[in-house]
Amino acid sequence: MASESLGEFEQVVLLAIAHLGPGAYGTTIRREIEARTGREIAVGALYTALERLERKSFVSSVMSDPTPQRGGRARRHFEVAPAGAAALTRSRELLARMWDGLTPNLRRTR
Amino acid sequence: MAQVSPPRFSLWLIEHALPARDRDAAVGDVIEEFAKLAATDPAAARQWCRRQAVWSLATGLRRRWADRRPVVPAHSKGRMPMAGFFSDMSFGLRLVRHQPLMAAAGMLSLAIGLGLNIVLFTLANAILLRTLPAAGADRLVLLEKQRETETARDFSYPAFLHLRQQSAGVLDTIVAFSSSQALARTTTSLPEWINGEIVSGNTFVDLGVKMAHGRPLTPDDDRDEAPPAVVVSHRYWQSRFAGQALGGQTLTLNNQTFTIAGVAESSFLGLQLGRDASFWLPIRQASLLQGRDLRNRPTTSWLFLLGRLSPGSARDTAVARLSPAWTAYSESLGYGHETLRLLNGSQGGSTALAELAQPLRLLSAASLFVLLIACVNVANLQLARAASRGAEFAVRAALGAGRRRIASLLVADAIILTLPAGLLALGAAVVLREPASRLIARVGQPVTLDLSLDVRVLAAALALTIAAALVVGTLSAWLGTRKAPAFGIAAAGRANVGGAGRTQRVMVVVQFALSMTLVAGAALLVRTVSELRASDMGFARNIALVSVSPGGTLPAAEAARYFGLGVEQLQRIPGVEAVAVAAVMPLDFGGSRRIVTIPGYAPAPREDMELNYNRVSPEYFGVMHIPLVDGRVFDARDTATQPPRIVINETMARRYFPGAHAVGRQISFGNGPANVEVIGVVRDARYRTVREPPRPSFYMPLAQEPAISAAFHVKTSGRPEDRLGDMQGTIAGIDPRMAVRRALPLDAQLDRNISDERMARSIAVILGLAALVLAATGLYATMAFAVKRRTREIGVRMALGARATDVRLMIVRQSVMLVALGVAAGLGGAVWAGRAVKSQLYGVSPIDAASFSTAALILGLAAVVAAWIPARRATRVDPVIALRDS
Repeated sequence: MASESLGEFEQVVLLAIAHLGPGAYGTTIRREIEARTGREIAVGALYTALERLERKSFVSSVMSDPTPQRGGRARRHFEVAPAGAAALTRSRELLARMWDGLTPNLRRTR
Repeated sequence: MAQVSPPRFSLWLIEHALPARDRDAAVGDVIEEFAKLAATDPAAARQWCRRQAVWSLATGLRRRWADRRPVVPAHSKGRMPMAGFFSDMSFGLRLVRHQPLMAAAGMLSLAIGLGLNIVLFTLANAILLRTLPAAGADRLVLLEKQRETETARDFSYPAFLHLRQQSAGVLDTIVAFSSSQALARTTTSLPEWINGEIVSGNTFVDLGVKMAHGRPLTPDDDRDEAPPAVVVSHRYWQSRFAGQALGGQTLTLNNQTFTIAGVAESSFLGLQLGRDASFWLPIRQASLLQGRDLRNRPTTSWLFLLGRLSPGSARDTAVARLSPAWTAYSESLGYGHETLRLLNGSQGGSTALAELAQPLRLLSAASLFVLLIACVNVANLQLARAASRGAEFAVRAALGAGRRRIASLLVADAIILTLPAGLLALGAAVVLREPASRLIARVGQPVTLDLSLDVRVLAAALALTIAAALVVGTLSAWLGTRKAPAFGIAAAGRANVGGAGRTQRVMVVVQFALSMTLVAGAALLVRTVSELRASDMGFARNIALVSVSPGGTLPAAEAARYFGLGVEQLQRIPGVEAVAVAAVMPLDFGGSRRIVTIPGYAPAPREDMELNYNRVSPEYFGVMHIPLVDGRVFDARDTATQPPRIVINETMARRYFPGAHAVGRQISFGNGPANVEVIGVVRDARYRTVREPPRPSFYMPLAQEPAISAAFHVKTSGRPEDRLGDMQGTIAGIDPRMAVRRALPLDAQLDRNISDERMARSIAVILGLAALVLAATGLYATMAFAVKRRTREIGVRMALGARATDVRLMIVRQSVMLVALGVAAGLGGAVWAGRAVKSQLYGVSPIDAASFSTAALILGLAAVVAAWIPARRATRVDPVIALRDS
């Protein structure tokens, strides 16, 4: 399987799921991202990204029981899949290598 | 905690912007978050919700756009691949194999609808879109003179010359022409009557007609000293001269020999589209043909005039210049006040084709109706198939197929059916265009049309096919996916599928409403033709007519002797009761007219005193059963040595001699002496057409006014047609200079006269039948599906003691009710149809109750027939099995 690319937002979502562990579903993922980044996330955009991630086999999902707080609707729980973990690591390495030799404000150190 | 709920519209937007799979979870998320926010600040919560809705809208649109191009995704476990368009097609094709009957029915319906329209377009193309193969054909105008409400298009030769002078500047040319027929003989072929045209010398040159061989006619040929020359058509040259090289061949017309100076190119067939000419003669030489020179007679109008507007000149300016000039000219000749009009001449002198425009438009509307019925039919069939695929659709939907997928499947289905139907229709059109064009007979003569399938026809066929595919696809996609869960996993048999059943029934009603329009129109026209045939013409009907003309000129005395001999010999044929001769045949569209002056009668300022008249033998009134009202008819006393005398008809007597006896009065012809005595009055009889109102007309004795062309009117004891062969044979032997033009029974002559109405009737019947067959097929499909659907209900009924007959009656009754609804709905359409064909109707009101009831009855009958098979199938339901199958 060729290694698929990871868009920036997809990375963010994947990392949020990684942070949350077993309690990662739509609402919590969104809250995690909003808390860490300070940006408001659209539900639609989130689920689009989740769908793409699932298509690339970076996450896996299961439906849980419906709850009354959600108007009787079920939750979809997400989990980082091995391929997703690998992709995250790859992209981090890639960036690290590219950043090597630059200061955070883009000055050359060597 | 106060129960605040999120704004419903926002929720709905979010819900529909997301793919089906995540809908539930996302909405749940929103509700959860909203609840949390609303605990502290409900207003902010609502605002947040709305924001989310707007963003979701953007996401949703972007996603739909991205999904437009069906991308084959990477293989993902547990998910059905987002099938592309071609996969839909192949699936559809497999389905055709599984349900061939339904597919065939759909394809046939479409083929009928498309075929009708393609044939019609071919005809329309030939009739409306062709123009004369002449230079500047789009600028051609036909001259027409108008007096009061009457118009005429024939002019005299001096009038032609005068107008040619007056038109300098606005018309860059005027040509004059007249139809002609001549008895033609070549060195190789037998004598035959052929059509031709007599044209002014400038015609070929000014109109830029190209020649295949030789030279065109020129103004030189129109001079008195010019040697006899003729130009023939390409078709005639090929058939009679086997396409030899041109070199001095001659053609004998009416015993005059002409040298063939040239052969026109194959596309030029004369100056009247629809009437093929085989030869063209200059006007000067026409006098050789006709035995008289009409060039110097200002009172004989026999030429059509075709002009061409100068580039940059508009029709209005030309009329403004020419009409006053014409008025002055006609007044100077004592014709009274006439004006000039210019008509479209791009199709030449024949307006027969342009007159077909309106009926053609009507036909097109009717054919599109039929196509619409066919499309509704096919959509109906598709629904039936779709409903039976309910389980399949539900599974697809569960796997995320969504409405768009299902719609795309149905559109693919539509295309699978429509494309072959279109090809079939095109093939049918190729075969049927000839017979169809023969249906369009004009003035009793079939119109010759160029029916080649050019680019326009093929493009129209393609456009129609695509349009039909779109209509069918859209209709069934819209209807089929309106309640996608309606085709739910709850299989057939449950009332769940009631939605589809109702839609089908509505479509049946629509189809029958449309059919009602067409069938009602057809019924009206059928009655019209029978009324026309049955109407009282004023004369007997068991008459055979044989018209003869000399090929060339014949001295009047010899012609009279010929007709005398003819009468004698015809009377000897067994079955012949009496024979008469008349110059004008009844119901022949044409005839003779003469200006009369009645002493003591002052005509109104613009009253037309040019009356129809006929020259007849004394036996005429007896043979034709025209009753005498006053005085006497012609007999042996009325010879050439006697003063002129006439017999007039009742209308003439009433109009010009009101309240007095016409017999014994004297009138005059034109400005002549008042010595023409009225010796008798007869009942009115039709002269030119079946539908004409009673007009004043009179008869003159042949002995006093001999005719060289005339017709034998033969009264027979049996059917006239039985003896026609004998009559023709007898006559042919009398004088080789006289040739038979036409031999037919009077009823056939009548049919020629009403060929317009007959054409309309035939076409309406064909269309009505097509519509009915389609609607009945739709009804059959609906009922068959309904029976299948209600197997359980029927089983229950039968288990509870219902008899087979009851069940059958139930089905039939339901169909009849549907059709009754359709008929009621279509009544408005029927009234519209009646009004649309009003000009064709005769003796029938446009809202004739009898015709409408007949139409309704026919539709009802079709309903019973169409419902019979499903009704019988319904009774074969085994109650045990039906009840078990829930």
